[in-house]
Amino acid sequence: MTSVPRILILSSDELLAELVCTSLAGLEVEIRLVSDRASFERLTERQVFDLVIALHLRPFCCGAEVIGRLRPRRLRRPEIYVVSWQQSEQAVLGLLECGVDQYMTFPLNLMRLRGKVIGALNR
Amino acid sequence: MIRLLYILYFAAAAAAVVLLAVRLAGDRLRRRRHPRERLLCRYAVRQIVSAQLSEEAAPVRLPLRRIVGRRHRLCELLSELTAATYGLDATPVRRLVRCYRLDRWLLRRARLSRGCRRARYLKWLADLPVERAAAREAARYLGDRCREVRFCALLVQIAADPQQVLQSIAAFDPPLTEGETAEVVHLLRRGLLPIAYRPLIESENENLCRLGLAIVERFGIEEAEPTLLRIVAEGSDACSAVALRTLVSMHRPLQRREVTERVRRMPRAELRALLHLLAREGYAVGAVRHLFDTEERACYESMVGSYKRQLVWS
Repeated sequence: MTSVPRILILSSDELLAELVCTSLAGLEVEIRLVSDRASFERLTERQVFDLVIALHLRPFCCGAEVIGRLRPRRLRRPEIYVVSWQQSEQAVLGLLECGVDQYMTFPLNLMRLRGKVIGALNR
Repeated sequence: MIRLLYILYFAAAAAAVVLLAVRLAGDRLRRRRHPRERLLCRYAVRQIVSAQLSEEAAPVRLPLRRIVGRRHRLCELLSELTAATYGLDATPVRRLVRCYRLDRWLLRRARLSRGCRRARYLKWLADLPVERAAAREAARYLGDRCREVRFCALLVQIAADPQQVLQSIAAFDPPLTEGETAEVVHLLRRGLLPIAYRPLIESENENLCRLGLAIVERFGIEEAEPTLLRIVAEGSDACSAVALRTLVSMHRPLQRREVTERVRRMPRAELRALLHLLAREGYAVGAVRHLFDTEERACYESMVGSYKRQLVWS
């Protein structure tokens, strides 16, 4: 029996979280939503996720080793996608260098996000 | 007399107690309503986005009948949806606009309000798939006293008639500010704006030129560099300053005759702004040494070497 892939969505904005959840409707995945960093850390300590979608940059810009904690050594999972309004090249490069797999900016094409998530889960 | 004073005193106290009780009851009611409204709005978002993503033309049914100010809330929701997404089918939203008569309602609210409130209603209208009739009615606000209202009326014109987008922008009377230009460039994602930058940056019209420069900057189009240098040398003061900022944002080399001459005739405040931008974009001291005299060079060196650069970054 194979387990259902787990996706964690981190967003302080309910509307954006709902948008992403709706775009992933119909996929056989377990989606968990968290709105603050404390519950994000608590949840990622207890469970291993296949994909983390963060809808803001804050957790990755505070100097904490978020990605190191999320992703155990020698593992490529979970894939980490960040979606934000920030478009500056430096911010994007900084995120990709610290290990984020995909960076997308708002406004977001939900079909494209869905396609990327399906691709990531199939990998 | 004393009896009358007692009566007045007790009447005032009773009125204060009643008012306080009414206010507390109102607060409690609002607090009880708030989570329910949030749930309903989440449900509404799910319904609208599901309808936009599905290939079947299913009607959207929203449980908003019992929400106070439901059209206000719905407009706010649709505006947020439009800002955060692109490439979705607009038919369900168009149906909602027709069903709730949102365009009529927004135009009425805009007519009855002033200033930033009017601008907000017009902005919401621009975020909806509006008919040309509504845009014609909103055109009267292009001459409003408030600049924000005028700009939002322009956004309505662009949303209603994308084919006339360049004419509308060119005819907009005061030159677009940086924020307004960014707002217009945001429309590129919604497919309302052509991406062909060359006719824009070569245009005589300042608004179109600024828009072209913003597109060049957004997409990092390096082939436009010779045209940017020409604008820096020969363009109007405002366009030439924006073109120089665009070159800096694209991290292009600045050892050019046009750039040096432009920097020499720059006012002091503009020069300081340029120094900050250069520091933020990470230009080395040696790369811009030839542009400045001794005093400004020392200022730039201290800016780059000190903690201020980190502040500029953040």
